[in-house]
Amino acid sequence: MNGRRARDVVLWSVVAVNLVALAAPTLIILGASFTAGNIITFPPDGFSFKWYEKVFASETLRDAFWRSLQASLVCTAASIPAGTLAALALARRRPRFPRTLQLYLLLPFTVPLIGSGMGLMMLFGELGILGQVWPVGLACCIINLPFMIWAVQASVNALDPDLENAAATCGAAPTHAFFTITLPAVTPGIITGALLMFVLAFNEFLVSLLLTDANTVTLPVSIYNSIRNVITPDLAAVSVVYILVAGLAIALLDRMVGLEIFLKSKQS
Amino acid sequence: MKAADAPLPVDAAAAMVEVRGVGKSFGGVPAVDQVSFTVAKGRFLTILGPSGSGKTTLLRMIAGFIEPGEGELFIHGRPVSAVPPHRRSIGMVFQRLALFPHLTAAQNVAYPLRMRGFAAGEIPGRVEAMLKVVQLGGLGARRIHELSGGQQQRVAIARALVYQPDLVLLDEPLAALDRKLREEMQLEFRRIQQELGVTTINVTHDQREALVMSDEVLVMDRGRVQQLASPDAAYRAPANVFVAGFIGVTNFLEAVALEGGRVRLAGRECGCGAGPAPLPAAGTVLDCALRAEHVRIAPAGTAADEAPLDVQLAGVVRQVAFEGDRTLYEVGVADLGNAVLRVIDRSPEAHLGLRPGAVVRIGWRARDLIPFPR
Ligand SMILES: Nc1ncnc2c1ncn2[C@@H]1O[C@H](COP(=O)(O)OP(=O)(O)OP(=O)(O)O)[C@@H](O)[C@H]1O
Ligand SMILES: [Mg+2]
Repeated sequence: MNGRRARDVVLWSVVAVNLVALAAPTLIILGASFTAGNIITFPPDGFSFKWYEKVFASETLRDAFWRSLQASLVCTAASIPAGTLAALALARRRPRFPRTLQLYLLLPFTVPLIGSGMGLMMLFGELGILGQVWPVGLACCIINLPFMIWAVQASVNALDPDLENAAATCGAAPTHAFFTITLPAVTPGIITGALLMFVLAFNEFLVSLLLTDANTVTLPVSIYNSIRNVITPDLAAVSVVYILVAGLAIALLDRMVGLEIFLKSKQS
Repeated sequence: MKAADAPLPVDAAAAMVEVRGVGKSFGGVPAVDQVSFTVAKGRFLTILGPSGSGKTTLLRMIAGFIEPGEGELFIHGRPVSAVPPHRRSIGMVFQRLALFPHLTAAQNVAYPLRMRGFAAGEIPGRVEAMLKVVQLGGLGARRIHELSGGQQQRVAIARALVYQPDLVLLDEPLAALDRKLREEMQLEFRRIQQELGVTTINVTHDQREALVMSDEVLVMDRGRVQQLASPDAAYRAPANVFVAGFIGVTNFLEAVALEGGRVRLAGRECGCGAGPAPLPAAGTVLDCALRAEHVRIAPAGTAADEAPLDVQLAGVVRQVAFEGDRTLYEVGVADLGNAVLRVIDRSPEAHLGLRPGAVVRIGWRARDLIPFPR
């Protein structure tokens, strides 16, 4: 009885510490963003919305925000067909060297971001497309594509391998079966992957740093540029906007596919 | 509907399905080997065989998912090697059902109607009627994952039958169900099949299912047809040792053929029944099949069984397995070289006292001993 109690106490203490540790940075930044003072402190020095006003008034940050949004949308739009088709091909067509192919698709993770960033910078420079926003989105798509593939693959693997055969016995020609059965059936995975790609692109820093200039900075790069001067509470306010965007994405995910499907797909 | 999508023209005189010398190898190993049979319209054929005997491979060749390595398949008398699966007019119930997870039960059943160009106006009515046939009326709006295993089974059956295909294929769709539900669904499917008169090929490794559901049973082993017969004939007159051993609980006894339709069994002469072939010349070694339920058992020293037994021997009970409606004994018989005979007793209450070690009398009628030349 006593041992069990002691175990409960330990268990719950660990959970509590974890919860605090997870939430602490968010809570601190949330508090700091509402400060009335002029420097970033915790606990905040009074309460005001003035830093939010400043953030929303700042043309630099606003432009950077829209550019980030643009790049994220480009990234998401590109990754949906690329990731979905790659995942379907990997799971269904049984390629000759599945393990090699899997490893190859993991390459973006093994190469340090700074390496892929420089590679993309040189490639995009060669192609003469630097200095625009959409290549940043494309770059985010390239380096994060494995996440998209994983998300869709988890969905595909949960499907009955005879699904297309079943559609065929129902009279559906192969392309028709793909669009009416396979694609809708893996949609939860596609949505999961797409939102993940969106959030990752929205937060992407290192590669964007290399691919952007003064006219095309994205939000994370813009924040970084400001930090180099002095950390002011408006940066805390921007961070909160970030958290809201991510929270929105998760809420959307929950509405569209249900978080438990997302979590399950991560397990398998 | 494009001309290319039109269903195959019907040749009513021909067998619904004809399989002619069909074979398929994987990596040089034959999975299906020289299989030929026909199924007439409206009949229910079950392909019965142990795991790995090539049942699924055969069924998938009929459906068109696998191309035969040799031989030809005919549906309605027309060769179908050039016809892709979606134009074969076949309904199929898959082992894992393969229901469309993003659609409701009714949408699953409507899908083949939509794909096959039925008028949009008549689809809901047909779906509703079909759901009634499988006793799912009122559950059409449910998602697949909101249905129980047995209900999902019924959706899969409804989806396969709704457009009245020429042929329905079942690949062990009942295997995953618990026994009670499985037996219910067997009778249920048989009822629906007879109601609609649809030609059906079923695959199973469950001998009971094969006997219960079918007009004809095709027994397969290692890719080859062992016997094609009615359930009754497959049970009573097995074509070979494999079929005799696969259907039912069967003892095999070695014997030697004698003159005059008799055999010598462990030193004693006795009569035997009719095998698939006439008895070979005297002196030939035979395997004799003796079904467990054809062996009578009684405690030693009791009065003779009411049925006249042609062979009676003493034995010792080794094992007793009480199965409710019957009891399975394993009896060691000294006169048969200490062979262990399996005996099924249908009136368990009569012999409740029999425990391992009990001395018993066993016997059988001559006609139940079926000889197979080696
Ligand atoms: N795609 C394949 N590639 C290689 N070998 C295969 C393939 N499909 C089947 N086989 C082999 O062919 C043989 C027959 O397989 P099949 O699936 O037809 O058996 P089955 O009678 O349906 O068995 P079960 O009752 O276990 O489903 C097996 O030995 C199997 O290993
Ligand atoms: Mg099989």
